[in-house]
Amino acid sequence: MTAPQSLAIRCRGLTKHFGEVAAVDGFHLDVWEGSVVSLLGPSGCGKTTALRLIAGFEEPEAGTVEIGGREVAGPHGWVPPERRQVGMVFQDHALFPHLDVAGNVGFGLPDGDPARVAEVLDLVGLGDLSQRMPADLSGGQQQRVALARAMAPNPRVVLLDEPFSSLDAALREHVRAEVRQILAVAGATAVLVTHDQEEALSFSDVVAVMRAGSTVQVAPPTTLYLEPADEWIAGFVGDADFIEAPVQDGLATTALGEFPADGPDRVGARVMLRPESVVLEADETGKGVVTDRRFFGHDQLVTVRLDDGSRVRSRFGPTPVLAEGTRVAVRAESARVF
Amino acid sequence: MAAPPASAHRGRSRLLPAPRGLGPIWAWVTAVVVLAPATGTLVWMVLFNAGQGADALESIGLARTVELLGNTVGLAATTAATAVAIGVTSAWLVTRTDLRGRPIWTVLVALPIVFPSYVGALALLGSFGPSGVVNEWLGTSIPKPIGFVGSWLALSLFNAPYVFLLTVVALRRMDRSLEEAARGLGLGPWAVFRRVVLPQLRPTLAASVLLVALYAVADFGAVSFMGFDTFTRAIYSRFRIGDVESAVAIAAVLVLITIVLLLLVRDARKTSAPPSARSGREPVLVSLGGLARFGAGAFLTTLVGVSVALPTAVLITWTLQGSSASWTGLAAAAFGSLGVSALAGGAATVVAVPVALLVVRYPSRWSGSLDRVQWGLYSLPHLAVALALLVFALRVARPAYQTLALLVLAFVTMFLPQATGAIADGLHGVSPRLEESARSLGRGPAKAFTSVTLPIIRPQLATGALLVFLTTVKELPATLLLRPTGLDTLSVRIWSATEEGLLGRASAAALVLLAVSALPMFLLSTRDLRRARP
Repeated sequence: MTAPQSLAIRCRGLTKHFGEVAAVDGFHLDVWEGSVVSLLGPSGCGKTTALRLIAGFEEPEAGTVEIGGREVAGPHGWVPPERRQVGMVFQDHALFPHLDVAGNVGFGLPDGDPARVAEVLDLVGLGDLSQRMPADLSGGQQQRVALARAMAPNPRVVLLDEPFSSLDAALREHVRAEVRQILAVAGATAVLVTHDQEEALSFSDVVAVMRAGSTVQVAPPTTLYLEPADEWIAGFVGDADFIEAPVQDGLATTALGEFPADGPDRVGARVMLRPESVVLEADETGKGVVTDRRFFGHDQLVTVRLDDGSRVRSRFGPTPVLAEGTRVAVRAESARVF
Repeated sequence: MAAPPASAHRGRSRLLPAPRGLGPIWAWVTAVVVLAPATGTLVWMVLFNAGQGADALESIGLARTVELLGNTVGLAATTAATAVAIGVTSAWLVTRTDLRGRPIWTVLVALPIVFPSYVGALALLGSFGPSGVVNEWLGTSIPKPIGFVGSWLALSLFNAPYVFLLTVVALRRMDRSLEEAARGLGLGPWAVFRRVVLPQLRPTLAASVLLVALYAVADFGAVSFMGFDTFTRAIYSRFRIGDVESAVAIAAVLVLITIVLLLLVRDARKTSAPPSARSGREPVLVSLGGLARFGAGAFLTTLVGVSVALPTAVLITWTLQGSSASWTGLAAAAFGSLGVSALAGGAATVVAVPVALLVVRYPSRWSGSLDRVQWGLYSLPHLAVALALLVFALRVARPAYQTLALLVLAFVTMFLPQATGAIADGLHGVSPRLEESARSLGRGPAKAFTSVTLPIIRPQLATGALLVFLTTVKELPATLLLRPTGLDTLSVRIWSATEEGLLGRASAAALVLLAVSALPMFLLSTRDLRRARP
């Protein structure tokens, strides 16, 4: 049961019930050393439980967890969280309120190792705040102290449980970029739990989409977005419209163009269109009519009803202005056929 | 996502088997070792001693038993009615009328909470009769209010503040817009009180009636000073003449009565609606007319005069007159009280940590039972619990008889929920994520608890210890029954001096008792009041 050296985390068939409810059910995951992986899923899909199983806060009923090639949960035994060498960053930061910043960061170090504390605080850019109490820090600063504390003992992997959702929207994107940068500089392996698909796509090297307790697709962000494994994933990771089209000889023919398709010839295949790939052009002889237009400044979202009754959306820059009722020609630059 | 799945599961776990197991063994061992002696003996007294108990009651006589029952129940009923009438009236006056000086009245009406009822009884005895302070001042010859009247008066006056505090908090938390709407619909102040305020107060009233009844049934000091024969007094006099069998039999009946009252309290709590949301506005105050204003002022002045000014003046006067003052004896009693109370406060806190941990962190049928057992022991008459531990020592653990350890065990057994309640408050405020962070950073479960959770709940540990300390300082019956020979405390000194008719000596000890406990006692008792500031 030896995993390749370069796997930081290996989960196989993890299962955990709370009462009758299966929170995690046959969960698989591989995390390679030095990579950042997001566990993305809707509320209640078991992603936090999966993270807690890796951290050792919950004990699985079945399956194994290996960290750095060593089995930490499974038939061969159980390693408690304090001996797993994982760093944990929580949604509410969970800073020790009775200790100052240095005390928090040094908590996991032998004798609080001041040199290492200073080093990690510099890494997160808080070198001058070491004497502050957590209550006197802003949300973003607390976030960075929590990260510094988790990283100080050089864990094999940093686990982040919805770490940005407690920050307000204006701050969130900024802190997210900072944290990503800090992890990259340290070369750390990290697993991020989130329900925010934009966060997962922009933050990680690999996104593992979870549904009903197990992973349904594990892929790099671009692949996940452009080639989702099924319609549910397609809709969950971004805006998507679906139209039906016949497939013949590996080509799906739609009102918006022809697209390559896998599988046998069939009628009624589902074609997924991302609004960014749908291009509109005012055209009296076009096959669609603009029915709605939402203007956001940096871009706009225009809804078009095709003559066959289906509906697609198109996202593009602030111009041109296509008023409701305008007849347009519609084509798509890319599409995914299921 | 509103809540992470983990906490959603924790919510569900109330209905399903606890995901975290039953809790650490050491915590259960501590809880069982401390609570089992009293619990086991009480269960034995009530369930398995029926045969001997019936014999003992027969030797006391049916008529006598019925008389005791009548006295106890009658005193509880009249005391509860009177204390609730006084408490609710004064609470309404200070929260809903334009009476002047309401903040000061609020403090003054609540103030008698610092007098243990036996000190109140002592003050009443010192006021009247030959050489009574009031009689000497006014030249009257009002007899001592002994027997039923004295007991009723002392218990009503010194329990009314508890009702007052509960009611003030309930009134302040009530949604005032309901009362404004009723005024708008043309109801007068009295009709608003009767038809809008009173129905909302019903749960508070029910709880108050039952709580005062519980106090009255359990009271030992006041009825003894007044010479009124209730169960507690009968138990103690049997014990004193060495008839432990009869004492145990009567105590069993007393425990049964208390359990019935406790079940009623629980039902009253269950049906009590949560306090309705407050609107942030000031209430529309009922403006008192000239006569009503005079009446209200006279009522509050009399109440505060009788329950605060008079006892204080009487205790001071007797202390100054007391020719029998023995300062060394008093100092020994004061040190005895402080020492034993500090021990009890410390021991209760040490035991309360594991118990609170089990109740808060490991909810299960078992920890639920543990919680009910500790509250049950807290609510039973101290005399009955102390008697149970005495019987336990005599029959099972002879070397423990008349030791300081047994006395401290009694205090921990009786007052544990005061400490666990405070600590549970603290634990609820500590996110489990903190200990999990500590675990991930390399600390084992015990180290994570002691290096993170314990330092954070230090204030609540102190509050718990202080509450137990204060309750122990004024405790009387258990101290009388279980104290080791040679240990004197303030409450015992007040007791024995009053028995001997040395009111000067008793008053001096009572003043020292008040000096030690009054201020912290008042501040802790009025915490809810300050949180519900108008």
